[in-house]
Amino acid sequence: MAAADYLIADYWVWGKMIENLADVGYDTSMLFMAAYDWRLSCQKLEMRDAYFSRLKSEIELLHKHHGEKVVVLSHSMGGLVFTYFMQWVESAYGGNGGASWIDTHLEAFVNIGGAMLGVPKTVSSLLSGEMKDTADLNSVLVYIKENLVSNLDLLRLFRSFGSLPSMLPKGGTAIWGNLTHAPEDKYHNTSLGVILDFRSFSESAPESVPHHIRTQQQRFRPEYRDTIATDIVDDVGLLVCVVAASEPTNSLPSLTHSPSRPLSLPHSCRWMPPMSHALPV
Amino acid sequence: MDATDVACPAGVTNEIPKELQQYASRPLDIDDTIALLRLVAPGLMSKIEREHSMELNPVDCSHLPHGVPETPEEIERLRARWGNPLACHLPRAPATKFYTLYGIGKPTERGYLYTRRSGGCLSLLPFQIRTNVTDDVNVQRGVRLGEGDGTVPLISLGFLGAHAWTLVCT
Repeated sequence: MAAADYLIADYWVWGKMIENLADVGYDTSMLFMAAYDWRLSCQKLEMRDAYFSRLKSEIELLHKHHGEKVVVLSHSMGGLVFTYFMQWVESAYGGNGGASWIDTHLEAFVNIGGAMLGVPKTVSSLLSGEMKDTADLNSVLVYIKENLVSNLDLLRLFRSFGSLPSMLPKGGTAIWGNLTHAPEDKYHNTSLGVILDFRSFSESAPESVPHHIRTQQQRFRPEYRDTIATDIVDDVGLLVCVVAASEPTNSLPSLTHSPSRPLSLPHSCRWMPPMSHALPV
Repeated sequence: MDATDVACPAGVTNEIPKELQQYASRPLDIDDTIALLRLVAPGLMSKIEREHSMELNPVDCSHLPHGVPETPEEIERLRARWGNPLACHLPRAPATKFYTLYGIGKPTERGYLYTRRSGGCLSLLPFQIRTNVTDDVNVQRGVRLGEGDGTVPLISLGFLGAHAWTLVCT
């Protein structure tokens, strides 16, 4: 666990979480850090490290030893790794835990900042070995970077990461929007559905931006520069969305729902397109 | 031109392949973008798409679909869905609780302004981000910023917890 509490002094990863859990009575016999090699795809994690087999055994051990179901917390890409685990563990083609393994062993899944549908930066990394972090480098740093690690080297490196494709944007235009609109467009003028824009800057017509949107965007512009990870963690307004567990009934094949938020039920199990629903901001 | 461009890997030329040029003058949505990646890195993308599903069509992912023969290819196809929450129902676990926590209010990379690259080895690395472009709305050094936690866009953080995972199948 010491491997992922603090990266360096005062730069915490899971440190504060561990301290707070200790405050409410958890000790090291009750906590387990399931660190994974983030360069590997989920398939390779199991193939090389038996990662999911170990995780299954560890959860079963905690469950048996303490007589209580287990709470799993994940961060960022860990949310996807655990999503994979939940499918793997029950399937006969994975951990073969059977159809009630999750229900039996898992009290709760706490998904923190999960990159559940992917991130666009995987696209730029695969296409040109670039992302916001490299675009932000100034000319001196670019010179240094090019002499240490060229774009071609970075491209080769990114393309070798088996984990990176697991975060390619999922769901196509239904999720990420198209050339005219995207789910988050109420905050922006240009469609954010444009993932790669090859129009030259002068050709893209300057659009008139509604005043309230402009104000909102400018609100966070100054924070943009020199943003470091700890700022992000300190400043976030946390939003908690609880999906309450429902009574077990035979009519619920696989999804839980919140009794306090009755929904008109769709007749199929397809997810609704995100454009039809606002995200809670 | 960077130093390593002098020696391109074997088989790499300084020409942008013709089929890429139809993309290189217009805005691309995510489907176009994936199509472009398939052209730029065909071997890599076919390997990626064998291991990772990107589709939106949730089914029961614990078994092979009814009537499908059990071949190594079919099993690989099933496993490719497991890492995509849009391709699989949640496991049936009415006693298990899900919590989705995330931050917002930080500019988060959502798209990129691209152009033809100024270096060599163009058949391998044809495009680059227009880092000289910053506008007064939401483009910073060629990166188009949207809503999110500074790393992950809001849609990726919130869609499952706020919506998809609250749906009930009938």
